[in-house]
Amino acid sequence: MPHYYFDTRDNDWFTEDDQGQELPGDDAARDEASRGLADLAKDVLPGCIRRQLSVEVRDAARRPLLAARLTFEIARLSVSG
Amino acid sequence: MHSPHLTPLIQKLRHLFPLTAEEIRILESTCSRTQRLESQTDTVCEGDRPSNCNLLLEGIVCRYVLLEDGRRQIMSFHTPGDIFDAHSFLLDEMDHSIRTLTPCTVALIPHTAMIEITENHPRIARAIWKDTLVDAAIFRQWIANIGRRSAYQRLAHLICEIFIKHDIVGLSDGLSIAWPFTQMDLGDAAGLSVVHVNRTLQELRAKGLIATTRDRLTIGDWDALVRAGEFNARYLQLAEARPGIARPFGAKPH
Repeated sequence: MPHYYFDTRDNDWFTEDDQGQELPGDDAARDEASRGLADLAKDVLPGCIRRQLSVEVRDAARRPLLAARLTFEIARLSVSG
Repeated sequence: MHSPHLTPLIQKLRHLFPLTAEEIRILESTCSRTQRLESQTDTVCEGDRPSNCNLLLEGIVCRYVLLEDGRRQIMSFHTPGDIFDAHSFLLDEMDHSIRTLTPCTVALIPHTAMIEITENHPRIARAIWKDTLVDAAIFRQWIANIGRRSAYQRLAHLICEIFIKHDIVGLSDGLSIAWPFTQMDLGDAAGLSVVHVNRTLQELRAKGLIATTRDRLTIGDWDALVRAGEFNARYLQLAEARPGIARPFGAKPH
């Protein structure tokens, strides 16, 4: 099975995947990136006003394949009437 | 026939429910034989009706269920000294599987011997019963962990638990333990994706709480790890027996 790396970015804090994972193919890697992004979001979003998160997938040769991105923002809505 | 030495269990029971020399001899005489198991072997499968209980003497096993889509939830890790399927003695059919994560040695305790113990040696039966109650306490902590804690807290808690369980059976050097767990094992145990486990372990390392090599984990800052995981060793029922184990390496009491 091919090897993939999943680097994460939390605002400006970058974490490089030092191990990677073997997965059946690019679709599985895409879904794993989404799962990782959802886990990260669950931990860090509560309490935030704005946050940019991403998981960047690289192949075995460390070539970038895709990024799963999430932009979070609390918008205060004005009360009308 | 020579009975196998059950050293890890005896060491654990010293904290949990001390037995007399005679009781230890009886317990050892109930183990018919030992068995070696390869790594990544299912030693008990869902649906099995075992006729022995397994006492782990060497290695690590995990208890798990597989979901229909192939994902795995690990419910516990077992370390030497654990009778990881004591409940198989009274339950009709196994509702989960148990798999080795390393090469293992187990001592087999036939269910017939368990009947003999429960009928004629109530103190030994109570010791085994208490051990299964500690397993249940560990499940409760894992539910709280998976249900309510962040990944950082979950992994810190899990590492504290695994470390203490090694330490009480003499399998730590006070600072480090063998660490055969893959990031997938940890993710399946903590309900996390491997991506998030990787990231979180790096955070624990970057903050100096732990250090890892390929096959060992070293504690960098026990007190900080305990705080991070909100870990209180009381549920393992060992802290009172030996206060030092809740804070290895001479760290200050909380």
